[in-house]
Amino acid sequence: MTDDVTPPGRAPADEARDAHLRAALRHAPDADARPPDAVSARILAVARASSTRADVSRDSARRRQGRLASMLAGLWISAARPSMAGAFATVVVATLVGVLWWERPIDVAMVRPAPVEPSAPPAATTAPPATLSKPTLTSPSALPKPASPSPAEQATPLARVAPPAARAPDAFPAPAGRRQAPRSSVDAPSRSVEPAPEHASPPVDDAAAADQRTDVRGDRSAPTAAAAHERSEAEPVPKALRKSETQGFVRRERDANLAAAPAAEPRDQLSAAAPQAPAAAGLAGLRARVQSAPEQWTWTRDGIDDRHPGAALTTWLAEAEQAARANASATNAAGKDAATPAGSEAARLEIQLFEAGRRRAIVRVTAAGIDLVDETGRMQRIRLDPSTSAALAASAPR
Amino acid sequence: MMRDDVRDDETLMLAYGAGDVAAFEVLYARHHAALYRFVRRMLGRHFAAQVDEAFQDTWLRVVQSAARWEPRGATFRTWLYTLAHHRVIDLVRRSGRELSIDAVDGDGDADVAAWEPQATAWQHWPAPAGSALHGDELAFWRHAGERLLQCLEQLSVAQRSAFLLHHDDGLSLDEVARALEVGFETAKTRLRYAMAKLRACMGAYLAPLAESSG
Repeated sequence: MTDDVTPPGRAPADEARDAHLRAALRHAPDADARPPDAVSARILAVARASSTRADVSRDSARRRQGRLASMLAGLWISAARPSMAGAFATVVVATLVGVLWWERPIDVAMVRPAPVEPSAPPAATTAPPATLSKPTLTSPSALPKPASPSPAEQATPLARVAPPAARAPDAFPAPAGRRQAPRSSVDAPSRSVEPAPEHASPPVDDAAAADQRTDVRGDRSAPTAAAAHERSEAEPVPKALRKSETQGFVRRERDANLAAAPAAEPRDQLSAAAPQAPAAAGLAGLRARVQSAPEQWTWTRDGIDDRHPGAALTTWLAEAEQAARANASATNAAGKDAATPAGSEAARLEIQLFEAGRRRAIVRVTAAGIDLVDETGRMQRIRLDPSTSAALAASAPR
Repeated sequence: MMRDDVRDDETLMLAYGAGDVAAFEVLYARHHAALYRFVRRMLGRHFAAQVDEAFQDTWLRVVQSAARWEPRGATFRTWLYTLAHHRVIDLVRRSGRELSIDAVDGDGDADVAAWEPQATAWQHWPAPAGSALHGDELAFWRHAGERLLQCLEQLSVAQRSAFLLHHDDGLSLDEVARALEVGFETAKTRLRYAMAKLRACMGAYLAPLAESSG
């Protein structure tokens, strides 16, 4: 202990002197000094109190942790009860619905309004403006029924009835691939409940453009769009109001159609809408589609001579349409075999139209009238008097 | 008190931090006398009234720090003396007395150089390790002890603490350096000059036993 502090050059006695210093320290008067008992007692008391406080704080912390754990356990148990789970599920569903409806137009997202007044546009909006001015659709239940032509319509000359191609009603169904996609993926859930809403979406302001479009929509949308177009032209209504009115009407009409033909698939719009649409509309729609993209279409007469449609074919289709409007009393012949002429009514003429190689329609002229068969095989028969039928067969392009 | 506890100081301190009051009592029993003596000798006669306060404050610091105390390379005893040293310095500074903690180099050189002990005088001192002291020897060492306490007060606080920790409390030089929170060489230097001063002080005024008795 003393080696490290012995200055160099010192005599060996220095180490002994260090021992002397230590001996002097041991014999100093304060060598046996002790702290007063009061001080020691105070220090020990403080030490005990501090330890007790630490124990208390530790216990309280432990109690707090236990209380928190019990609260969590209680929350977990209560969450497992049906009432709490139901409330939680309700909140989750409400949040989900709110998110799904976010940014959707309010009139689309809203709950369906109450039944509408019977002043809705007519179903036979494919007719000329004179017909449009007389709405025939007074209630949703009337939609499925085929519109029977009024005496005035029957008396209308063919030339007067013939509509311009651009304003032809879009009664014939468009191919599935050409239909408009849903506006957004968010709408998908509601679409699954209410099928085929896309043909109800064109707003009034876009009705004219929709008419100009070559894309042919479902037959149910055609009268709606046309009627909305006519109304928008007749009376200037605020944009938002017209839009909501149109959408409301379309929605009501769609509901009526769904009630009338619930089993029909959304794609089979022609089949689903056949009962309430005039048969002439099918011819008009077919002609419009052929005229819009003739390069995609071919046709045959009596199964031979495949060729692209020309002016002769579209003119003949227009004549058939006019004849149908003038004399038609369409009957739904669904379920019949579309490939063979019906019974004794032997076909005088059969024209098949193909789009992109796929048969889209058959126009068959018989002694009894015109049979229009769509791509699904559903047939509509337009009864004509024999002379008209014969004239139509004679004027068919070769 | 559990005076016969064989656990080391660090284990006892950790036990007290965990709530074992008996561990603190053992620690106190082990170190209270030496610490009290250290504080008393550090403060000297000028601050004798503050000895109890400094001693109590030191232990209260131990109590307050018990919950977060960890042995970080130093023993409990070293840490305990560090606390006491800080408390002493605080008291001295608070009193307004001049405190030259680091004034160790050279301040005692003149005294050391001026005094050359007579070798013959030291040889007549009684043996320091003698267990059985006679009456004259016992009187001599008590006189030497009183003289040493007076000489200690001539040292600076830094030199005094280094000497007391090394010679009275038995800390090694490394532990002295840790306790004083200085480097090893600094502690060694302080101790060297402290001993030189004490030798001069003691040899100049403490006559050998043979001469005094003769």
